[in-house]
Amino acid sequence: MTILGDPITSEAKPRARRWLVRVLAVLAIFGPGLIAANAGNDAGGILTYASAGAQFGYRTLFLMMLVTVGLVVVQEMCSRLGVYTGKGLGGLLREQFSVRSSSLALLLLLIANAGLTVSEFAGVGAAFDIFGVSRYVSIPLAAVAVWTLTVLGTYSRAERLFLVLSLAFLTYPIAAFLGHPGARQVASNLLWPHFLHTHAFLVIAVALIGTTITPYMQFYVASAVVDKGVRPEKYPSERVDTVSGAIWSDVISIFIIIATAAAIGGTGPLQSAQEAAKALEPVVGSAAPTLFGIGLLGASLLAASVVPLSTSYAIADAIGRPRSTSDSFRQAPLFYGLFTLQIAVGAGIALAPGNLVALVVNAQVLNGIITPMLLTYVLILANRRSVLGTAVNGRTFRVVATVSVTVIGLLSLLVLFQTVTGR
Amino acid sequence: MKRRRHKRDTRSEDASIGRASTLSAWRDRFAVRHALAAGELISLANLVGRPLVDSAGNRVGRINDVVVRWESGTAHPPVVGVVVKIGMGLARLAAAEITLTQSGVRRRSEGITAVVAARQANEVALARDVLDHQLVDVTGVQVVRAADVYLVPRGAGWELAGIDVGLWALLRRILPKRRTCPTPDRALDWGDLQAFVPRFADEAPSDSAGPAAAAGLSGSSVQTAYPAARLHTLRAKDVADLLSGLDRNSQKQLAVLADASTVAEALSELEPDKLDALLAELDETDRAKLQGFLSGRAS
Repeated sequence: MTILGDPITSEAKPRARRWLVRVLAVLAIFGPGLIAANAGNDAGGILTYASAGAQFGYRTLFLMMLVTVGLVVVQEMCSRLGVYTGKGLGGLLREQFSVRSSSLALLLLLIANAGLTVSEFAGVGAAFDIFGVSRYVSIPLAAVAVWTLTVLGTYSRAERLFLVLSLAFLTYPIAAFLGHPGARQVASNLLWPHFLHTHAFLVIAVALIGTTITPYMQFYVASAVVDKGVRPEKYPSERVDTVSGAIWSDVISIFIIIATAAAIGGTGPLQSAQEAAKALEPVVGSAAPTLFGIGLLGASLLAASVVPLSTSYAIADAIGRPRSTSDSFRQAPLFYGLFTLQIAVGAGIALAPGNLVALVVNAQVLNGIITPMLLTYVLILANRRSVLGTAVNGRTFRVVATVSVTVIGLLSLLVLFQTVTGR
Repeated sequence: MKRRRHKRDTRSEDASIGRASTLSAWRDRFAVRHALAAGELISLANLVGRPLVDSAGNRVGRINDVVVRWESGTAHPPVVGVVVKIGMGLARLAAAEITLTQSGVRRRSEGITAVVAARQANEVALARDVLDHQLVDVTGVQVVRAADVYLVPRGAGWELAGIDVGLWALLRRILPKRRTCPTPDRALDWGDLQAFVPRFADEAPSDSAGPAAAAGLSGSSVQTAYPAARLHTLRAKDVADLLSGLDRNSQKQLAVLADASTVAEALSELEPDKLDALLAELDETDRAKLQGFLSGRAS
């Protein structure tokens, strides 16, 4: 089924301008939240949401509403664990579980995040594809640059530049309105499931879950609150930040799906970044591929250092080894060794011939399969009174969280089963 | 086999970062080798879960934890008891009542009369509070996690010798437990370590059958850690580095235990937000003392 918005005709232009004014007004109010949420969207997220929109139109929107509930619940638990224990998830896993269980959890995190690193470098490759640069040039160069800047400790300066580049994706909400998606259809898909009983739909559903409720974000949010020194008394306001951050990030994701669905919905799986860029045409016209390429590059590079760093941080914390970028290579060989390994493997796999967008989506499916396993650990931790004291999960919360984790787990089991049996 | 073991020892020696004097490192190594050869070293990671047998040799329970008395001025705290799991409940046996070996615990007297012990001051349950937790290696100036805890004989009983921080010591715990103590990988003497009291120990539920209660760790009074002998040798930069690697509860204890002027110097380098967060954790007296040093530095 093709779901296309009205083409922008000459009569539609004044209407478009009126929309633009309204959208800008909304952006002015919600800007700060949107910018923060936008920074959380990496190459994996953008290409997976775009892929969902291209392949299934608006059909995944209701799923995104459910995923938002899951994301809020999960992020809140992780942030609470960080604030109340003053420890990162890596350390908590080591202290609270047997060596066998905690090493399994960390291995899963390593695999999931290595998958994400692959997708960040694939994102770099796809972005440079738009500018006509071969991935065999761009990806190795990016890997060397990311590694060098991080190890030299100057990555934070470069990050600001990448953040600015990734702001290109703030055009998505505008594009979603200007693309004339058909308000009724969007609303109906947001509020009521229009799922398809096909393997492809299930796979994209797990990819959407994997890229939204990603294991990386769980570890990241916990160590971020510890690093900020947030104390239990300050938790109520921190919770507002965490919850609103989660909602905002999904608002952006939903806009990406709507904008892409309106532009190229129903045309089948996304083949390239150029195709995804069509979603931005209502805003910038023929400059859409360039804008998309710039945004994708920024988002990919923003995450290409942080994702492997946070894995190395969690594992070094669990093992009890130095884990700071202010340490030298000699002082923290495990930390830097793991970081280097992930960059090398990530960039290496992204260089393999094939469709980069499909590679990115597959990496998110992998995350989607690993997410429920790691969530089980998080859930057990947040249910333990000996860990959280009075801040332990309440009964209602426990039910909601358990149901979320179980549903996600069943979906990923189903995908695994169908993939293995080939049905 | 022997050759391999030797190789591993050399490697771990190279890997051990820090400023420990070579002489004392060699002496410790020799003592550990000697104890190992005589079968006189117990690995806690391999002890937990091993059987408790009565004097007739019947298996009556499993070892859950080993309790040591933590006192100021003792480099190696003595083992004062073990926590055992009998049926569904936990019980505590005094060190004098038992014979402790790597393969398990034998109770000397007839029958099992042990009851759940009430809290006793200055005691630490090693599996619960030390194994896998963060400690500060004061000599090597690094934050470590205990991958194993070793006990050595002292007189008729046992004492806490030190911990292992080696990667191999951690990974071997994935394998089935052994009846003999494995060769230490990267052992650190307890005298070089600063340990911390876990945070929720004082807020644990008053479940009298819980491990916390049996190990003497629940209750209203908050236990405080003792400063390690060489803690005062740390410089401000060392303290700052260590603080950045510790969890919040241990940060707070290190800030209280270390030399106040050194801590103040280390803290003055912190970002204001983090400094406030850390100060807010402290008791009023400790905070006032540190703030005094901090304002002294500022003026």
